[in-house]
Amino acid sequence: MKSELKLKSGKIINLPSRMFRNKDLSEMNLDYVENKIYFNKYDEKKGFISFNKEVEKNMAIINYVDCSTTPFSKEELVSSIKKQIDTNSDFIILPYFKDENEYDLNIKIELAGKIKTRYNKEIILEISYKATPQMIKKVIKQSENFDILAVFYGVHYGRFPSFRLLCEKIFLFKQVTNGKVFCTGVPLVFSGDEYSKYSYLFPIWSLVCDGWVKNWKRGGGAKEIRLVDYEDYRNKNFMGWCETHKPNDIVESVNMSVKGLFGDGHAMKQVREQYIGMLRDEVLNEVYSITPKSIGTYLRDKPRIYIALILDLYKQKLIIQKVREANWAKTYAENDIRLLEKELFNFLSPSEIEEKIEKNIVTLVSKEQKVPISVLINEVQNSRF
Amino acid sequence: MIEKNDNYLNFNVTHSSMGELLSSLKEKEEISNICKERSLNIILLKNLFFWSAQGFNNVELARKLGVHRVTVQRYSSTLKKMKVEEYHKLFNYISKGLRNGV
Repeated sequence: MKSELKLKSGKIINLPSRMFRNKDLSEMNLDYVENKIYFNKYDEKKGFISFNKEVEKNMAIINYVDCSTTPFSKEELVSSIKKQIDTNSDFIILPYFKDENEYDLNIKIELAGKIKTRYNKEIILEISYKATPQMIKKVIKQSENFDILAVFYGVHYGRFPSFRLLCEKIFLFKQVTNGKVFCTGVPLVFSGDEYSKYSYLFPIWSLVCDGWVKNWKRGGGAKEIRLVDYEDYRNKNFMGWCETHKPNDIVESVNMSVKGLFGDGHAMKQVREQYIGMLRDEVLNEVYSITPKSIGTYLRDKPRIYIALILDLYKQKLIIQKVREANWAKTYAENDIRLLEKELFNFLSPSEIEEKIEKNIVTLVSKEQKVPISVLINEVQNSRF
Repeated sequence: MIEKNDNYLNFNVTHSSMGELLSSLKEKEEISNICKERSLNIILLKNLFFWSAQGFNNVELARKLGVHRVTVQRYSSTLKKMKVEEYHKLFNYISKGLRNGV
């Protein structure tokens, strides 16, 4: 679900936004990507990498100091903020620290509030996907101290238990505060379910949050060469590929045979990297273009355990955009709108929810001046049977 | 239940609507085979058609869609090499989708 976000700096970004690193742009042979976020990670030796004027003009900048392996200290936190303040960034991010606790989080939130009043930049508060329920309560309660919540995932390979923890945080925060959520350090490959021995290229981040950056840490080297098959997006070894292709079949995107693609040597490694980069871009574009009508087609052959979580977050995004943020909803009390949202959420399919909002509710509210909320709820309830 | 279904079929499914459904399914399958053979992603292709019709060149398309420059080049060169009938099928399918906002 696409939307625009106007930043305090005047720049406009298209949400959900992938955050591109310098490495991503050079791999893609591009100088910039329009209206997206540039993720500039701090390097201990080189500082923040300088980038060209086109990036500054066309992209929103996050200068990020990675503290995910550093234990929390107020000095480190202040130093990470100082590094960002005098740069040309559009955001100030209070990063997640290793094993930070409730007390540390309190300090971060208080500091975020102080910075927010002094600087004309979007303030991002980053927490871990493992944050406790008490920590989330605190974040929600003091959400006015910052503009965007970022949830740090920090894994190369997504699995259901950790993904569920992450999704719960996003859902709760959005449900109560209506705020935007970014996910940092996310994987693009997820484990399969009980029906599949393979993992999947499954970059669903545009469906569940408002912005995301791929994990930047190096993963451990694989024992054998594995590649994502362009036909079913499963991550397979050569024998796995041979189940769906012949060894001499040509992989069009790199103009090479399947057998050749699994060859040894540095040159072949580069070809494989190019192949996976191109396939990834195509899938990311596909996921970004998903609409309530097409989400079912995309999720149909994907690992089932993730589908309910993804659908819930997507439905929530849809309802927030089409109901909570709609002009007609502003004439109703917040609690009344929540009741209507709850009814809509009972529908399983996003396209059904969209249809109910656009065909039933919007038609009703545009005909009369003020339709009682009970009538709107009835309209939704009745159409379910 | 069976009676209900029969009633529904008798009243709502005409020979022409069934024919339409079958031909649209056949068209979908044909398009998916064309794309599969050339490893083209239909959604990306749709986006490329949409923006290139507005006059954007390959680099601008890549910047707009956030995809590899080589990917855009590959898609346009694949379209150039495609048989005319196949291109027409693809073009009709995509423009129909764009008109319906899908």
